[in-house]
Amino acid sequence: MFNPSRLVLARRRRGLTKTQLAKAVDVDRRMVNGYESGEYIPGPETLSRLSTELKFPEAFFFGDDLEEVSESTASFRSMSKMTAGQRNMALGQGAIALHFNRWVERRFELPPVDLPDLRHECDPEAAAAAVRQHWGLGQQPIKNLVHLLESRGVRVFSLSIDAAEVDAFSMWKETIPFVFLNTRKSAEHSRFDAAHELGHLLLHRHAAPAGREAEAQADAFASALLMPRGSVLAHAPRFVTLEQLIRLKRIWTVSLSALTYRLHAVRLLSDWHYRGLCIEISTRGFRKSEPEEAPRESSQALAKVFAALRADGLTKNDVASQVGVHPSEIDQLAFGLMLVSLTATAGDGAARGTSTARLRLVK
Amino acid sequence: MNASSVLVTVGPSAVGRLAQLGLQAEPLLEAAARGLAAAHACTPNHPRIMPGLAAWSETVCGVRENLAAEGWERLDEGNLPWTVNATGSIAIAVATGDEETGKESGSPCTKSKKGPQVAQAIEANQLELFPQGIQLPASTPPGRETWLLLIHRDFGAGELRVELSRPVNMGEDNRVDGWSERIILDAIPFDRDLDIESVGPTTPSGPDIDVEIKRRA
Repeated sequence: MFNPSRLVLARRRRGLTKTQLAKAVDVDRRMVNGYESGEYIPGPETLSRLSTELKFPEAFFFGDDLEEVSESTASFRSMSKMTAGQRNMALGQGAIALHFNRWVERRFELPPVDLPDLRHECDPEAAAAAVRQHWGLGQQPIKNLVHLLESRGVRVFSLSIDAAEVDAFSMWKETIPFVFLNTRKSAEHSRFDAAHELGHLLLHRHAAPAGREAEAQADAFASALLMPRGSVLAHAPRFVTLEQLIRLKRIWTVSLSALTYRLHAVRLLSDWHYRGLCIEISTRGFRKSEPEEAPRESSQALAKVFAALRADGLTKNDVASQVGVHPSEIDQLAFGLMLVSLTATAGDGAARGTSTARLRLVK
Repeated sequence: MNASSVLVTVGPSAVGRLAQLGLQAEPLLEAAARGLAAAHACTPNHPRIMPGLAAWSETVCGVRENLAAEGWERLDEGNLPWTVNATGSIAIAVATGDEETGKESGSPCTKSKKGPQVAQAIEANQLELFPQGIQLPASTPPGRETWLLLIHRDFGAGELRVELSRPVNMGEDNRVDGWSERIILDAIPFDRDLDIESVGPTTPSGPDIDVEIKRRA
């Protein structure tokens, strides 16, 4: 049976308004309204056009209701700067990710959730120290934040939205924490986003994240989590230049701006020196393009899932059709890992040979 | 001038002596540090004199800004930028000192000496922080003490040495090499060229993590 809520989701996932969709499939806007309210059911020809236009297989529109991701449950980093279309795209991708995650979790047991309860901790610096202690991280830099989050039960997915305004978002779905990262950012930017979202998950679990203060708290948390005070004090030069910072930032895999901010926060930089460095970072264009960018992080859990599925002889088309979406849809939320791990068809040996090398897991 | 007749103060007694002049070490050291930062912001594409010039200029500005709240004012006299206290009894100028600067038993002068060997000469040139030579005014108003904030960047020791000293003798080619009093401030350590491999964990650091997943039965 045609499910109107799936049409709404598909349309939002593509960032389209009803009017835009109506125009694209050449029907009256009232008809789209009708399809989405359940008043009308699209005929075979319209359905085919909806499928093509929205890039979802026809079968997608006949599934059960999917769990919605609403604006109130998700915390966006820069909600105010996003357009409604961008928000819908991100939330739509989130809903598809939840759906895909259910499919994965029916087949695999992912790490149990192990996040400390820090809802009553109002100092972000203390919260970052507490979670570091809870996870036994000491003052060590975090080599791969996505892997760390996954090992503690956070489900991490990628967003593929080519918009500077969309950084990341996170949410609790029942007892499972989710983080969505826009991977079209620099590796350092994306890592900071992941730490920022962990801050929201820990600090703002039951309260609706409240605007600027919550964002500032999550930023401070991220800064302290990635660059623990003691570690920074131990390694920072006593006299700071930009060239030194470009090399130093590799210790914590953070952006030049984030490191400079942190050095000022731990009072290793005077106000005057900090301002000077900020200006230099801007004039040399390092805010727009991170110097000596680190390799991007991606999901280890999903890489292992795809490796196991491949061992079972599943192709990416098998997986996609079981989930009820196009393969590219899964790839976009799985850090592009499915495309490199699973072959298109069962006997496609050539692609298999090249994909193993890129999938070496951290042991 | 005989070095033994120079009054030298270091550590707590230097702080005490500065207080008698209505000064503290912190504002002067901060100004010196600003100068060092300004020099560090220069690249090889800047003119060769720029790091020293920028350091000197920024230190002068720093001294004036940091002492403004205590009533010190700027005064340009005899082609030198001075900072003068509210009563006009003390005037401070900024100058580069040689490697003797900031050493308790040293006898610094305001111009780096050139070594006999070429390599040394080149190095000495690079060490030059501030414009060479300093011309003290032929006469100062009665009742005014003139002091020089001498600064030397020592790459070998990795420190910026600072002293506030009262010049009494002008050597040849505008070199101040005699002092009646030297107040030696604590040196500011710096890392000349940070070597990331030597500062601890190499990158990317931290332990590898295994995300454990199991098949469901």
